Amino acid sequence: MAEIDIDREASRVGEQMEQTAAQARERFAQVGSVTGRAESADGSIRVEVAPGGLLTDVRITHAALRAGTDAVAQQIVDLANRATRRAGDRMYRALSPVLGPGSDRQLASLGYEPLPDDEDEPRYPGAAR
Amino acid sequence: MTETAQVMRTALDLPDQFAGKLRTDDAAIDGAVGGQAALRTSLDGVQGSVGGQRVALASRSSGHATDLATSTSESLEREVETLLNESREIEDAVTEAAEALKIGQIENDRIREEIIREISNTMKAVAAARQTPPVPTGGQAAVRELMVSLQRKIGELTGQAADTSAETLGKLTGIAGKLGGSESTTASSAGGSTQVASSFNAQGSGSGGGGGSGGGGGYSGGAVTKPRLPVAIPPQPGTGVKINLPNGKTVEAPNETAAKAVRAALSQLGVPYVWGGTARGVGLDCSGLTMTSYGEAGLEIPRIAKTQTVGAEVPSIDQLLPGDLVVWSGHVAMVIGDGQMIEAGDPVQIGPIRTDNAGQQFIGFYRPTG
Repeated sequence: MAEIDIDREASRVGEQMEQTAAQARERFAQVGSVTGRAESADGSIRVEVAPGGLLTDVRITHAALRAGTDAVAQQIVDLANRATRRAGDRMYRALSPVLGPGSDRQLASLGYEPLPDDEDEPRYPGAAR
Repeated sequence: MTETAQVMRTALDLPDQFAGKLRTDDAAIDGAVGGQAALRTSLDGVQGSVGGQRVALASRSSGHATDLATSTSESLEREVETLLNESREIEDAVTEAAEALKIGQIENDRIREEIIREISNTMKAVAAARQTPPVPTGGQAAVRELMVSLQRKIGELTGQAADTSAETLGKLTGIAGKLGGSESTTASSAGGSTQVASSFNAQGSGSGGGGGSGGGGGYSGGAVTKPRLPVAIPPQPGTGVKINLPNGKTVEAPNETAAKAVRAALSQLGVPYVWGGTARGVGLDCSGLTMTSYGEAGLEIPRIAKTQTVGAEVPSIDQLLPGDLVVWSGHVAMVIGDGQMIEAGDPVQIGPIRTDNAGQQFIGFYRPTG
């Protein structure tokens, strides 16, 4: 029967954790921002979220208010959802190379899934939309 | 201890306990199997030489003393054969048990390795998530989610390990239970020949009379000698007590006590076999079934199968009546009528009356109610 040396296994995992942390740090530096952003077609409402969906910035112009409070509210929600998916896409692209091919399910469970390429979305920090 | 080591120790605690239960001393098991094989070989030798001596004895002058010597030698030969069969049973049981343990160990090891793999994968993801900008808060939600998911996974795997452990121990109980039917395994083979000599002298004229003769004297493992009991006589017409059997037939027991004992035994159909069991409805072994069933009828009979040779002896199979006991050196069954008997195999079941039982010595038919 195999004897399991917990200390040895634990320190092996510890080493892997350090390696992974270093790789992740590098990758996040390359990717830049991992926040998700979305804005309405006329740019009158802009939303930014952290990975996972927490709103970090909302901007509304007076022009937007012309559409009425219900419309504004709904738009904010829709934009927040879109922004969250984009943040998830950024996190996926940041971490998938670091955690390896078997990590897709794990990343999906955190809400980090790649967006299909045809969805119109900015990939580089500072790009429009 | 690092956080990871802590998580690992906690997660592996239960599976490690199971591993401890399943731990085998392979050398000891090999030794036990080897010992049984050696015993069997030497018993084979004894059987051969005893048989040879008997033939030599009988071929010399015949006479009362020689007849006794011959029949005592026959008993010894039968006893040796019983020991031989039991030795084979034990050897098989040990091998089967070792196999069940091995399978349990392998499965438990697999689960422990999977637990470690899950921990490893999760902690790597945690390390990466912690780097989410802005550090250190950016990855908190993700880290929380990862740890919750890990706890759930470990719970599932621990459950699997518990199932494996329970299944293995269940198998071992089953193997032991099968062995338990041969109760004379407690008989020591040492002193067998001495026992023969003394019974040879004591049974001089052969009519030992009541008292604790055969039943009492058979203990320390010598030949199982039949007690001298009165012969059972068939009941007078009209004195019997009717019983309805599960197959729809109606049979007649010789008296109310026997009828009650049969009904009590029938009520235990389907009860699981448990070695040493006397818990009605829960777990019974062969002599437990017959003893407790007669107990329900108000008649006390001994605990051990081969000593349930009480009351009167039924001289032949065609005179068997409901309630009569069929007794072997390590097993006992109760006749219920219609050519059937009930016994605690696994579970308690009905079957046709027979006189062979796994190579054991058949002792005889007995009517406890006399």
